[in-house]
Amino acid sequence: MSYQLFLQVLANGFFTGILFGGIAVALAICNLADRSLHVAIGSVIALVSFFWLAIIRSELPVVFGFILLAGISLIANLACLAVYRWLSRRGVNAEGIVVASFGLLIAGNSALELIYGTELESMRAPWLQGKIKIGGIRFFYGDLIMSGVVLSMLAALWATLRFGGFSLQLRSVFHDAREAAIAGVNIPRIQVLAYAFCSVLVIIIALSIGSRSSVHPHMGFFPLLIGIAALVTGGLGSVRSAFLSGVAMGIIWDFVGIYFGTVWQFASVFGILAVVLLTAPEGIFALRVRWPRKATKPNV
Amino acid sequence: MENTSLSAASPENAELQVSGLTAGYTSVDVMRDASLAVKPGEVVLLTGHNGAGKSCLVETVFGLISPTSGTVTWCGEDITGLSPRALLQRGLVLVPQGGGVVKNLTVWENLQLIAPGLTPDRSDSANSETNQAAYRVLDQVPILAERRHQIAGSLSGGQMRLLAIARALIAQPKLLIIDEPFLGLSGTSGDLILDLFDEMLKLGDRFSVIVVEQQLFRLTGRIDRYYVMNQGQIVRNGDAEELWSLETEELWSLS
Repeated sequence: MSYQLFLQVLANGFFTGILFGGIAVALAICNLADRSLHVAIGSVIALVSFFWLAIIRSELPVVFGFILLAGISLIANLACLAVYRWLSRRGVNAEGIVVASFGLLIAGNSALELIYGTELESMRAPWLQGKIKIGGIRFFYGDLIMSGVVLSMLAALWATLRFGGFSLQLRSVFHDAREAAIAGVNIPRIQVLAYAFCSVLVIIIALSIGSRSSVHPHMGFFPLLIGIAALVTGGLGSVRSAFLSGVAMGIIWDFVGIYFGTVWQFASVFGILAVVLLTAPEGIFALRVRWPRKATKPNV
Repeated sequence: MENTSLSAASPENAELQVSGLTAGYTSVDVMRDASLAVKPGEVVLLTGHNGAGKSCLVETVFGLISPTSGTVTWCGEDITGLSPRALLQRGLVLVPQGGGVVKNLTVWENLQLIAPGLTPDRSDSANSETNQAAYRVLDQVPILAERRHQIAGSLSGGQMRLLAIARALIAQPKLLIIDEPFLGLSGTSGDLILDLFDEMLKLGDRFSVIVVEQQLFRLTGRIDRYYVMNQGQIVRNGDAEELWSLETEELWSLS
């Protein structure tokens, strides 16, 4: 195996990892806001991709296309949130809501299958499929755009969480929604913001998956599985852990695919998940429990 | 002796007026047709046996439970079914039974949750009003400032209760609802809560308090009126003097 190939696989793995990390972050932010596992996102990914195809066919300007996609993605994700909230108000617990989300995923995929059939379609976005070569390593425009958007969104999220009151409110809702409500946290607003962020991520994830392979009703399912594995491996409750775990999964995914064969890719990812669950059930980068530090007296 | 007269349940000039409230945790009504009133600056005791519906009543008033019938008015405004956030904005604050803190956040983060402008520097001019209000409370409980980096869940039960009450006071309440402040606390920890309770009544403008409590002796001389609940209904109410004039045995039987 040449050094050049190693670097190429590493680069590809990094981009795959950002894709998986993006899905894991979308799942993590929703999980933080309402403790759900928003697996119906897999169906939204396919829905957005099919709408993209429709927009291309109708020859709408790309800008309008993106606005339309953002609207579709937002409506679909908020509809899922409305279902989760309705179930929660009726006393359904978190596990029940996960099952409901799987139901939405299956129903959504089946509906898309009924409408569009099962034929694979090309993404029809040539600007996503071009490539450049730097130092002998190929970089696809689609990967570069997707990585740029995902990393920019993560930077914006980090800044929001770091410098605003949003982080504290989000964490309080994650740890104890009832106490957060008693403290005056606007839980519906937190949840809508989290799902809106997820909606934007879904668009770039959908376009990226579509340009890497093809558009079909179940296109979101397998990346979703890796996203869930990354989320659990990293540890629930941390967006950073979800992303880092997703990147690691992507690199492992591509290396295993090249060095051992694609049949081992899922086995490797879920093997890692199994080992993590057996040894550190809270996840590798699990939310740190900060034990009492040395007391520092403030200016009182 | 039972006193459920409407005049005592609905005193004139009541700030908070609860009328015919019925609610429950599931499809079963835990509390039926409860009426209660609080005048400005009053400290009202709500007592009764376990399962009488006391917590259900205050949680319904605070919007955590949707009532099936009845109304809650605050300063003449119908606030029935409003969210806790909306009620907090109107000056109603709840310290729930055994809670009032997010245990995974630090002490300081818990305080900031209710007072986002709170800074570690008390002289911070940008947030002077928030800071002044907060530090006026923190001066009464310096242990919270000392342990501000500590995870709230690692505090003792008494300290956690102090944090919950301090957090509620920092919100500058007009009506403070405290559910079982002494529940599960030893004598010393209970005394700390009592000290804070006494101090908070002296803080700034007098606010109204509804205190849900079974340990009546802790509140001797601290309340203005009382309500007794039994099997989901208010079965008795009256002035504090009347309560303390009861024989010890009868007093114990109330809660």
